[in-house]
Amino acid sequence: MIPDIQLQLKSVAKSLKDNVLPAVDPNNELAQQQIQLSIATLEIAVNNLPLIHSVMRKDIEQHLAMAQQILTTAIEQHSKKTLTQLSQQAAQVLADPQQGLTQLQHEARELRAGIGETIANNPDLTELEAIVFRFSETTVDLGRALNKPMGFEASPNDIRDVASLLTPL
Amino acid sequence: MHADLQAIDIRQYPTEAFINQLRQRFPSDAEVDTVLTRKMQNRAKRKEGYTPVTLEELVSGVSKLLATKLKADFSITKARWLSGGASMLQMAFELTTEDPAFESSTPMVLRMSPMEPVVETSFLREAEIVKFVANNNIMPVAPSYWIDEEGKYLPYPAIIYGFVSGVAKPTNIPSTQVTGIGLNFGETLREKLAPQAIEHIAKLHAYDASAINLAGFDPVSTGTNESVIKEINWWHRVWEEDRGEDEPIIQITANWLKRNAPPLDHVSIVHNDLRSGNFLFDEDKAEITAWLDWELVSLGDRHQDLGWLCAPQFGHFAEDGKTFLASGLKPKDELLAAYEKATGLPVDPARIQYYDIMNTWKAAIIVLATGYRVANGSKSHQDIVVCWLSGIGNLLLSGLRQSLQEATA
Repeated sequence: MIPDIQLQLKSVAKSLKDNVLPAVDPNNELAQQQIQLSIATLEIAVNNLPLIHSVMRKDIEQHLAMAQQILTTAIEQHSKKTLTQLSQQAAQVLADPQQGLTQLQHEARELRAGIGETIANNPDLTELEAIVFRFSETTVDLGRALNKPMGFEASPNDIRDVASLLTPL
Repeated sequence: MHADLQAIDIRQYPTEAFINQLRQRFPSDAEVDTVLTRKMQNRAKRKEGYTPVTLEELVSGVSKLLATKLKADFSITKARWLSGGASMLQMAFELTTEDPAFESSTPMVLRMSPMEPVVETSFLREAEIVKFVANNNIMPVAPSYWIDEEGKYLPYPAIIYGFVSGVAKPTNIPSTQVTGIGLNFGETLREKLAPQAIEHIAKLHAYDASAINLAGFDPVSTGTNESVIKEINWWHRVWEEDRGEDEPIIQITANWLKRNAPPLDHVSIVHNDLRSGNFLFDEDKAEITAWLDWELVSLGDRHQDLGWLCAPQFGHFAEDGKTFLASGLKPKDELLAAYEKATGLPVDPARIQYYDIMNTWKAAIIVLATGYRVANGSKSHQDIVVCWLSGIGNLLLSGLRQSLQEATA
């Protein structure tokens, strides 16, 4: 039988909450804060775990679209070559349903790094700003949606849910 | 394929070539370069993570440091932990000595960095400016005594301050409220604290800092944006040293900030975390006793502090439910008008907007890049806290995206 990772993490969180937390010294401020943050972090991670694979694919999809748009501008040759290669690589990864989470993470990082380097190499090309504005909204919103339970949002009801942000481009 | 992203992460295991490339790419103040280079070289050397430090180790380290500083026998007693936020470890203690520079028993506070803090800063700069502010009677600060700049005597770099009494927030508000975030002093207290805060800030900024000659600071002049560019380089370098994945919004903001960096019309001492929650006050007398947290101090444009002081996250609505109070002190317009009158220096809304964007960009870099790196390398006593705080990163990016869109429209 395949181990159920969500169940394992859920059990850890319950154990910490029910039995460990009450036993922590109430006068130990550091320990009190950290046990509570540990439980909350675990609970959020358990909830987000089933979505992460789709989120990573969406992140690559969005940045691939951003890279393709950047390639239509007057960026210098080195960046053009690098970004073309990275875009082709990203498209191949997206076309392969066998790609695991680590491979997707690696690809997302490579593509983001290529875009970042291109922006840094073309500091006066202001049209890159409009492209980044256009293609960054979904990934930023996804990050906010995944982190909503942390309580940083002033108007949490205005934050879109993760599923609605995962629809195709 | 790469099964372990950590193993191929140059930022987790930086080479000399990588460190030097970033030093060349991002020229900054000499002291900032020293501190950031040391951070990266230490990261390369220390493959292991942070392990907890005991009070006994800290007392022993402080003893070794003081043996090189005091002219008489001494003892350290009553050592105890103080909560130190997401960044520093703090220990309170009493120094007993016959050294004539001190009273027989002096309460003190040690602030020590963990293996890697969420903001890597210079204790030299902090100590120099706090002494300067105290010696010139600019605003109340805790006395700054000694630093262990490189962690020669203590496990990591540290600074020793005199203990100052006071509270950062009223004792009758819930302890769960994070210090400074929407801090509500209450009507009576804020009416007494606001004029003092404005007077202190005005005095700090009005002081002509162009003549300051301290080892930790490069000279700064008016009529040029050179110091602003150096500051952008500082934080862009931190992004490139610490980030996990890159973020296009951070990169376009860096370009925009450089293209639009305004020249200085006056050189001020800029605290860089000036807000409610970062001063202590005597609750009975309603008097500010000390301004704290000087680790990010720089010489530059006063608007950088003004933007942060008036940032929405540090304010709240007054009792009428309509009037928004900047830093829980005064409505923004009233606060800035009183500041202008007290300093005799103009407040430029365009520069406040510019520094709002820079401040948000810096905050995003701290939580998304350094916060990630600290937790990823298991480098502090507060990894879970900095990991949690990185959750605010997308909110900051969203704000940055919106502000930049407005600024470029």
